Amino acid sequence: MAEIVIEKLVRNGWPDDSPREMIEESLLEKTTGELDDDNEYTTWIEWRLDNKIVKRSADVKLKRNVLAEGIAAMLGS
Amino acid sequence: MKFKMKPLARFFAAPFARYAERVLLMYANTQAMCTSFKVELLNGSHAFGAQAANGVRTVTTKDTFNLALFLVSASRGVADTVYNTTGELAASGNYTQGGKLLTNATEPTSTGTTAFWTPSAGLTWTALTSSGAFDAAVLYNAAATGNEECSVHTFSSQSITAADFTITMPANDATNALLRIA
Repeated sequence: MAEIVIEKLVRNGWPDDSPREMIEESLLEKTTGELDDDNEYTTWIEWRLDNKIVKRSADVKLKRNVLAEGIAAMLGS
Repeated sequence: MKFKMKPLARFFAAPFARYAERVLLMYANTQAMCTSFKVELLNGSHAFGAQAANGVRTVTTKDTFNLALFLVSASRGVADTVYNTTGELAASGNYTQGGKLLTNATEPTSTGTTAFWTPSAGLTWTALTSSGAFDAAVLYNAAATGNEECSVHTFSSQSITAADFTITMPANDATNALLRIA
């Protein structure tokens, strides 16, 4: 049984109360998604507990850059 | 008389209201190479790579460059001149304001008539819980006194909860590199 770290849903407010907790992964609903366009290829993974997202990761692969055009012309080449 | 929108009308109007709010209040991040950065390039203010003596000057030390994350409510764009924390993710949930140092092991180069540069590695914010949804990364010169801003790179809105956020850099070539001068 694998345990993963999630955002704790309820905290008791004590200063040393961690915002994270370990939970059995099988108790969570896991979904994945992706977005692929001219700008980026992004994937994400979401884990939900009682329909609330308690863990979400994302990986953004940048595609589109920023371009300075015409500087060479201004320099006279 | 108090105007009250019917629930069904409110349901259909909500997306347009959110769009109108963004347009009217003009808070949105826009992908761009900052205009001030172009001037600074002409002034020799940024050293993305080291170079040998070229008859004018010798740059033996490269500058360091950071990438910082900005909320969807921010207004970063072409008119930016320097990095600042306005609209940046809050310093919480394992995020440190100022962003992360980029690895810069690959000197700027050119192919054909296009010069280009890309950080030699992406970045990962580990075990992050973002203070809100974010959709932009700002590249700035962290070695410069004023933290001069280079560019803004946008992507789809992301909220991260107790997990990793990774940005992977594009291919370092004349077509895809992060910064290009053509």
